Amino acid sequence: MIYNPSYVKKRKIKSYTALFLSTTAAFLGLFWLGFILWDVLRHGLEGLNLELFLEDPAPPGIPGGGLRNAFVGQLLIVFYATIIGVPIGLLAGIFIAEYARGTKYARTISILSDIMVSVPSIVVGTFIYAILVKPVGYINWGGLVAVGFLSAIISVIFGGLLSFIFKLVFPVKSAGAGKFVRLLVALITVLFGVVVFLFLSQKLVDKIQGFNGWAGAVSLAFIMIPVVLRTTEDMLSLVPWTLREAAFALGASYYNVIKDVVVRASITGILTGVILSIARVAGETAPLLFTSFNNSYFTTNMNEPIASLTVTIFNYAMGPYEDWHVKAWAASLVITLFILAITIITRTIVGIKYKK
Amino acid sequence: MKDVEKIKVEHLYFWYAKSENPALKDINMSIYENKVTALIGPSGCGKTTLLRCFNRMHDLYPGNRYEGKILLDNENILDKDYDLIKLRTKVGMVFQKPTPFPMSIFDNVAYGLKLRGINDRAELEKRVEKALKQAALWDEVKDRLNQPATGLSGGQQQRLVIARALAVEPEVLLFDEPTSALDPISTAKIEELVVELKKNVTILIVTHNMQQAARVSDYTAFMYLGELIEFDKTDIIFTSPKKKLTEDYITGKFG
Repeated sequence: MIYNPSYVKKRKIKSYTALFLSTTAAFLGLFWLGFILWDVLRHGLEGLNLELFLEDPAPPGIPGGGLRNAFVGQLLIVFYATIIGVPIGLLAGIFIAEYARGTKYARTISILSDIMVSVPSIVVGTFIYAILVKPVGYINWGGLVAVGFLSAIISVIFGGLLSFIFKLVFPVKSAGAGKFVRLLVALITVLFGVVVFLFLSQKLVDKIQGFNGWAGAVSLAFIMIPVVLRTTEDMLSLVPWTLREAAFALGASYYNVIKDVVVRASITGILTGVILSIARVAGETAPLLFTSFNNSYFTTNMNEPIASLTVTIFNYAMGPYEDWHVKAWAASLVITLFILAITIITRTIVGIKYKK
Repeated sequence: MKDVEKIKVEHLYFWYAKSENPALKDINMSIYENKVTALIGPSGCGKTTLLRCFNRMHDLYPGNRYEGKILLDNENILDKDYDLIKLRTKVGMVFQKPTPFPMSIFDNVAYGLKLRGINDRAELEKRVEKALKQAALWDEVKDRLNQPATGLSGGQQQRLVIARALAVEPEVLLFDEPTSALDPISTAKIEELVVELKKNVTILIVTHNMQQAARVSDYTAFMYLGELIEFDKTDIIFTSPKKKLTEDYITGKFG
């Protein structure tokens, strides 16, 4: 037996030292996280009341009032950012993971979107400022794109319902009639989409008058796209290749393989990516500073400057009034809890799904 | 009664993308209708490569190249104009590892049917039941058709995949080492099934396991380094092979 007690002792000391150092480092990280959460909670609870959500800001120096404008503005901006960013990210992720798998286009797009993920968000804000804010009086591309995606989503849902109703009302037996019904549904859906788009763009989109909500939504969408794209690509790549082969061997087209097998197998991961990307942009301030700017009045008009929680926190925290500071803390608490809740919920869902 | 030819392979060569040397060299053989043909040989001999030629699985990867002919019912399936969806309807495939789709047991079996435009619920139910019975899985799953297929055991999953392939009523079924990921009991069930199925379909099976080839097959092809060394009735290959190489492999001298 080769046994050298002093050498074993030395090894044990090394092992304990490594354990001690890494544990300390982990607790140091957790400590600050806990500290931040505790501080936000302590200060935020002070200003947290129902008025905060239901009332608009009172004039400076006058007590009372709330941040209704900022909550609604934040929700609107994030909603439209999701409408624009998620479909583009998803489809692009599917393209590079499936149709363009292994080609140099796919690698280039992957690398570019990795770079885009790490671009400072204020740079995105400046870029959007230059194309969607500065050219005053121009066509509102941001608004048109957002409304375009919104109408596409509405008409897809409409088309799904329509084909379901058709199936219930006229059950089709022959393949030819089935094709006719599908064509009819598609045609009605497209027409419906065009009408929805025209209606919504009339209602929602005006010419740009400088700072506007659409620009804020587009800059958040810019940050979402690479995040959604990369998670979608990663999730699709995890699906074993044999599963695709099995579907091909049954005579499926690539579209069928993607829709029925690959996306289905990775849907939890993809949705997690989508939700985490929403959480990621919900806390962004820099891209909104010179795009959607801020507004002390309540508005749902995305063609005007619109308030957001993050920019309001920034302004209020910098402001001279004690009352503002209290509100900024409360708003910080709300947005932190929101993001925390989203993250914990998605992690839990993923945890349940992959436990077995 | 003389066996009827279902597939005839003539001077088949195959190259993988970016490879100078052919992975298959001058393969000539016949696959007989309603018989089980086993492909045996050491690792890397090209038996799986040959199997995947019969449903043109190689077409999924750009750059792969065939030469020669594979005649299925006297039509050359390697012809560029041959419809792949038609081919894959005629020729089904079962893979080494079970590949249940992430959907319910019923939807798994119905998937191929839905791809072919069969959407009538009663018709689907009838065909799914028939396929599951053929695959000897019906009694085990009839009460939980709507549960996810991933909850089945490995052996059940493999029979489910066989049922899925059978549902579209193929004429030929390709098995790529279907039991290599299974325990002995599941393996025995699959083997029984293969013997049972040949009443309706022509079967090609790649196997590493020589006893398995001897148990289930009527014909055996021995391959080595991309070439077909010997092809004959299974009892002849296993009792009195004509080539020294075949004899050495079967008696375990190499491979």
